[in-house]
Amino acid sequence: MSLWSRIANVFRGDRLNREIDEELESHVEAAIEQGRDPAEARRAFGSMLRHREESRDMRLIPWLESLRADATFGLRQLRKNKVTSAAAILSLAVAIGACTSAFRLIDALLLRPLPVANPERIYDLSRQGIGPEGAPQTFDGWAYPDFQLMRAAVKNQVELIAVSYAEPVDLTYKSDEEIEKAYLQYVSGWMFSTLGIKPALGRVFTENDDLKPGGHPYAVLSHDYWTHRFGQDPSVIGRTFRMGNDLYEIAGVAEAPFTGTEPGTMVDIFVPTMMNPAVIRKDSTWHRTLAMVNAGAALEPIRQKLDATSRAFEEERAKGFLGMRKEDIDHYLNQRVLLEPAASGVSDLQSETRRPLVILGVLVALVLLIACANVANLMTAQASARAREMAVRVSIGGGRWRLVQMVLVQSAWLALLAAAVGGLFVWRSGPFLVSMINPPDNPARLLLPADWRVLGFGLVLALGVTLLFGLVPALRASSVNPVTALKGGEDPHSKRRLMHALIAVQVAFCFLVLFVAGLFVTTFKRLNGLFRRPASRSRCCYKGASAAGVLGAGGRSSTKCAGS
Amino acid sequence: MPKSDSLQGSLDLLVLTILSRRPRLHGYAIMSAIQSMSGEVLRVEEGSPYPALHRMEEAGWIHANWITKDSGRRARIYDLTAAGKKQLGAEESRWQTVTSATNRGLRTT
Repeated sequence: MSLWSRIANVFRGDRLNREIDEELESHVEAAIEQGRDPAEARRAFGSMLRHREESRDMRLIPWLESLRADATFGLRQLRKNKVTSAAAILSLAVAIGACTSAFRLIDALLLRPLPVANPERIYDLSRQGIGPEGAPQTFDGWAYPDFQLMRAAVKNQVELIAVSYAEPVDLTYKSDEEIEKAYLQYVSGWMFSTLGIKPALGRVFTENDDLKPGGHPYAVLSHDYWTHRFGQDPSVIGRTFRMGNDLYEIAGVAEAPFTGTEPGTMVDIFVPTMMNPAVIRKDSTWHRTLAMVNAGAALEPIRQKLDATSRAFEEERAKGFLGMRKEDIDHYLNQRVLLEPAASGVSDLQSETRRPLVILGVLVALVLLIACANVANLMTAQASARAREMAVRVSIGGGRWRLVQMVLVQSAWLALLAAAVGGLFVWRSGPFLVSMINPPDNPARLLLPADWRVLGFGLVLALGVTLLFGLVPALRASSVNPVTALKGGEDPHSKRRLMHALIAVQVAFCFLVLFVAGLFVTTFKRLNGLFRRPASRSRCCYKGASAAGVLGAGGRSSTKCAGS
Repeated sequence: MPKSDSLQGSLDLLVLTILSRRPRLHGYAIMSAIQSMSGEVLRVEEGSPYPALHRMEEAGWIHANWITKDSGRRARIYDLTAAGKKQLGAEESRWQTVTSATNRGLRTT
């Protein structure tokens, strides 16, 4: 016998009872066989029922047993009030579904770490200072010669990686008549080993693939692209494609699920930074710089070193700035290098949608609260109808917490069923939501895995919701006074007071939701306007549009690079 | 349950001892053995060893089997397991420690 048998016994309670009864009965029979008086033997044995209950508790897990009983009973109660239950489940399902969808999106875009080794040690390098218009700005684009100096300066504590802003390019595998688009990112050859990404096929780049400007016409495909463009055909290795005037040879496929470091853009093709024509230019800031900091290295000294190196580089360059105001040059040189955590990658989509997504989160949370108030009301109404039942339970010795548990288990049923229905909603709505935050001409492709993170969130949500709408009715139900309840009910107004309070809360929340939704829609409209700009960020000037200011609040303002 | 508190510790020990000497006993035989061993001192309700038996069974100290008796009735018989033998040793030494300590205490006061 073991824990397992005790769990199993919970679900075969009747058989267990029979078995115990049979054994106890056989005891009395044995006594009678010994020639004892039947009545005396039974009296000496003691209470058959009590011994059975005690034995039973030994052979199963009492709390699990009570939970099972409550679950069965709760489900029966829900079935008894079909309409109420359906209404409650539906309204909760919409709310839970919306919340989980929002979480799924926020998680995929902002929270989930990149599928690489040690994502927590990745930082994004940017510069913060005063822009030409006198407004504070932050910009994370770098010129490659500057990058090389910085990389050498901090070589022992950090590995710096250059990754260009991923963008769609025209290329062809055959003739010029068959031009197709693919997302391309220039990356440092050592990015793969630094991030611990292995080849799924062929090879990935190394440092040696990124030495001479224009000298490494090789490409590594992402697993996703290899799958949807080539159907995982292993013979792609060695195939060539033409981009502009350059011919590239496919060297390998990176292992799944890595698709670049920009959530919102799934990179199809990686090529070495050396193949970018701007790689030798000091005045073109065309790539991000990611830092993989060695374990245990202190950030501030690294930052200072980077700051000093970058400043020296820019000072050298500033000698050539003619016709610029001295003030502007000072502002430009006085920029401060920042190291910001980038465990979940860096992308424009992130900074542009962070604020709307937070608003969305608040919005759906409010919707959830409304649904909870709604269901709490239904439950309270039901509970008052069951006051007599509760009174009887209390009179025959049902403990208060036992009753709370009983009502809560019923609530948990509601929440779990709602979560299941909501799950369907989440499953279908994910891609739809992504398409909503998409600029139409530049579709964001986001990995939207529905894995344990989303599932866990949904379950935690369901349990939280259970407590939210179930606890008050449960406490009320259990605090019933048996005498008054059985006599015909207590103060008839007290229940209505709670109900009115809940309705008031609901109405208040509705107004709040309406208000926030209005803000959200406004923000969204303006964002769409921003997205429709022609995207030309590979040039020097990169405008990181953010939702700042839309709601009248500050934030990261739009950025662009100076000195070009 | 009358007297059960003082009995709780010794009941396990008695049951394990009895089963170690005479395997394959059913509940009634165990109960009778306890009573005959201890005389009137440990007189309890005859049904009270059953929860204890079931608890020890769950703990894996004893193992139960249904058999059919000659009369055609079923009976549940108990055996000591290897873990039960170990437990018996542990209970015995614990009992010895407690009683000798108690005895020392009684002598000194």
